[in-house]
Amino acid sequence: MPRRTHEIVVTGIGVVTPLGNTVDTFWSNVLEGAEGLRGLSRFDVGGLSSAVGAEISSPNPGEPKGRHGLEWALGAATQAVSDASLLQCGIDPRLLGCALGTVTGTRPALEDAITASGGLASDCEATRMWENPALASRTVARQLGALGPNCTLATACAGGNSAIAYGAEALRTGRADAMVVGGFDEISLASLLVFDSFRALTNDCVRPFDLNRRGLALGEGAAALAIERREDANARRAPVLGTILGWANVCDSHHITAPHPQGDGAARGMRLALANAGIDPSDVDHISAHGTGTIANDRAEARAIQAVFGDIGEGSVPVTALKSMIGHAQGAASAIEAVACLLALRDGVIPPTINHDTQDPECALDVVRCSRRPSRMRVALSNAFGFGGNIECVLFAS
Amino acid sequence: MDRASDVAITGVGVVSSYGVGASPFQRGLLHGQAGPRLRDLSSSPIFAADNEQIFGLGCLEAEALLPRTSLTGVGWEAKLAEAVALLALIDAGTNLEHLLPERIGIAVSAHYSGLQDYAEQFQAGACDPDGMVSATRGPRIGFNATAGYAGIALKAEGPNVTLLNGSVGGIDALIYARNALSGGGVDAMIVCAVDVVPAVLAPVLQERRGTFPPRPFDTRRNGPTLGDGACALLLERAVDASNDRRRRVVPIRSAVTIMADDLQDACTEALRGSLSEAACTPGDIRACFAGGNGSRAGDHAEATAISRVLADEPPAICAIRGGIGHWPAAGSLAQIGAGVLSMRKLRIPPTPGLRTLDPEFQIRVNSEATFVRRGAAIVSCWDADGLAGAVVLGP
Repeated sequence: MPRRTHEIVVTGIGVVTPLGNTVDTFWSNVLEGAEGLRGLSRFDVGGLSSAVGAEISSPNPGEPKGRHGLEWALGAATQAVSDASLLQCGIDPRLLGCALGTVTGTRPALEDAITASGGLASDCEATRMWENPALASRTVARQLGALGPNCTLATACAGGNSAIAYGAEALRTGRADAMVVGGFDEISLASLLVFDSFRALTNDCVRPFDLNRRGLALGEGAAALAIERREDANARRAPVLGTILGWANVCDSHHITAPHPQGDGAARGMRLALANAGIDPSDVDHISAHGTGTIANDRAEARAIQAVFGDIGEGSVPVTALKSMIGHAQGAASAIEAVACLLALRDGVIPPTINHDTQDPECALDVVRCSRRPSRMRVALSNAFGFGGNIECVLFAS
Repeated sequence: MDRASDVAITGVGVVSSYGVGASPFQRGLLHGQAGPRLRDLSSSPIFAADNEQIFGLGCLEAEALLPRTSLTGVGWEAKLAEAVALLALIDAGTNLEHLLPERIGIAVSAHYSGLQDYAEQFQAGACDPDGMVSATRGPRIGFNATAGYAGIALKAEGPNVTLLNGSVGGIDALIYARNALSGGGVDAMIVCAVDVVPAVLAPVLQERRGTFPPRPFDTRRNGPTLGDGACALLLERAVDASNDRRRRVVPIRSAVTIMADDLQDACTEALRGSLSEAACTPGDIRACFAGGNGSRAGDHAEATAISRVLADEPPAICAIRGGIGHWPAAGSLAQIGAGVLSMRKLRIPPTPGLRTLDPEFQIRVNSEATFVRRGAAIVSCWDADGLAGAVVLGP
């Protein structure tokens, strides 16, 4: 089959986040600079260095661990498919696929299984959840009747962008006519313990690129995009929210948890994404940073942005970090940030980076601080970096 | 050049209960050995269980292969990933040093990866009053730790992905790598998977205990048996590898994955789809490397699909999981590796563990090694969730 070049468009979006379980509520809160971090309520955080996180309030109290993320993924995917009117357009189910990114998937179900007597049994629901890492994307696909390409991408915290790229590639190569792509994750005690062991958690708030940043806070949620080839969307007169211009996946190959201090891998990822899109750095109007609020990540990312985009400080490409509001939603993070990029392009407004009081001179970027910034934009870059050196950069256009 | 033939497998690396490397793997398969190397899962201090038999690995032998400069402080999954990647390069007769690091990528299929570390770190941090979470072991709870460590060890700075899709994940990883090479963004992709059966599974396995060793397609089959193992395939563009006449090149003519409401339908569509993409007829297929693992329902679904699609010109059929156990993530890659190795020698192995073919199956499964004429091979695999995959390998 010859390689085809098709324009990939977004025709539907959906989110489940600490700042809202619908796109409108989420976006309204984001533009207001709402704080999504609270004291953690679902976990015994005694002994941990941090007691804050961005939890989604009132999950079904009857739902066991591992189930939350699955339900949110389904919720976001359902929103996106409905937004795109995908199921009403008569698409062949074998050409409708699903790809989701995640860090822990439904594995948190193991935690209750370990602590419950007889929990590690073959035939209980919890075992099915923690034993099968592909469960969520398959469950979502079957609920939607999607029998096309199906995969879970586990590129750590870059998972959401990796799923978007996977879906776009499936469309370009003709494996599918439409894909539902995104990411999901729930806060788990194991993740809290691991990040705590790295001393990477803040007990304050998340301050990306701020001089006084103290680390990240875990978050949770899900987001999904319905994507198609432009000609197919046009043929069925689907409203187009935006375009996926290009993407790139590279490996830092430096350290299993720490980014390259000069941001070499991140810079390479951004440059390759630009090349994939066929555009120059000067064409980018906005950067949605990975911006976790850790010393190392923010510094490395800032250096990478400076290396690629040249001019630094105010007046250069405006940068914002959504994790200041919703924490680090792990595999869902870049999917949620992708939705924010598309909405920012649609509305011509960049959401703020909250809690940014004092610029770190080593992160000399034009950070959109404290309040939204109206801006006519055509292209936005979304960065996502994960453990294992995973780097996935995606470009969106209005 | 059409896409179906522009990417090839040029190297195979395997660590299995047959030993370290492609040669012991092929030798063990051709001899029809079954059931070597039991490993006791009950040795975990946390998850006590009765002795559970799986196809265990000689892990110390893998360690002997690793260069001195390799990573330290990593788990067996990372060590095995590096080992099989190196073995694949050795088999391919290249060290890739002529390539820039950003032109080399890694695609990993994972399933139980990180599960034991997750369980033990949680146990240590949340349940054990004297326990402590280790910052060194922490990263290993991620599904992508294997791929991350492999990228560092091999200095591969190109694409690096971890795909979770059960027993079909290996084919997904192959498709990803093939697309990356076809697109021209990389010059070499290592497709890899590692299965180390986690001890936390022991109580679960007790309840699912099947026949040991497993008997794929056998009338008395009673379920799969898990195995430890790892496999890596080196993929390059055929035109690049063929520049060196000493290199052995097996083109990937097609690779498909299918999801269906019924497993039999998924297997059937995967086989038909892969033939169609490869522009092959059933008569072009000399051998079928089946995913049969001793499951009553799964083997039935696959056997029926094979007879539907390939009955007119039945190829020699071999199911390697009778000899190495069921590898959730790496099994499909091991099947492809077995296919590559077999097509080099034109000799198809028997199916270890098979004594009496289920009379319901209208297929011909090798009970001894057979020679075949030069031609294509098809690899079939499936996952109990209604997914199936198939790959057609050159010439």
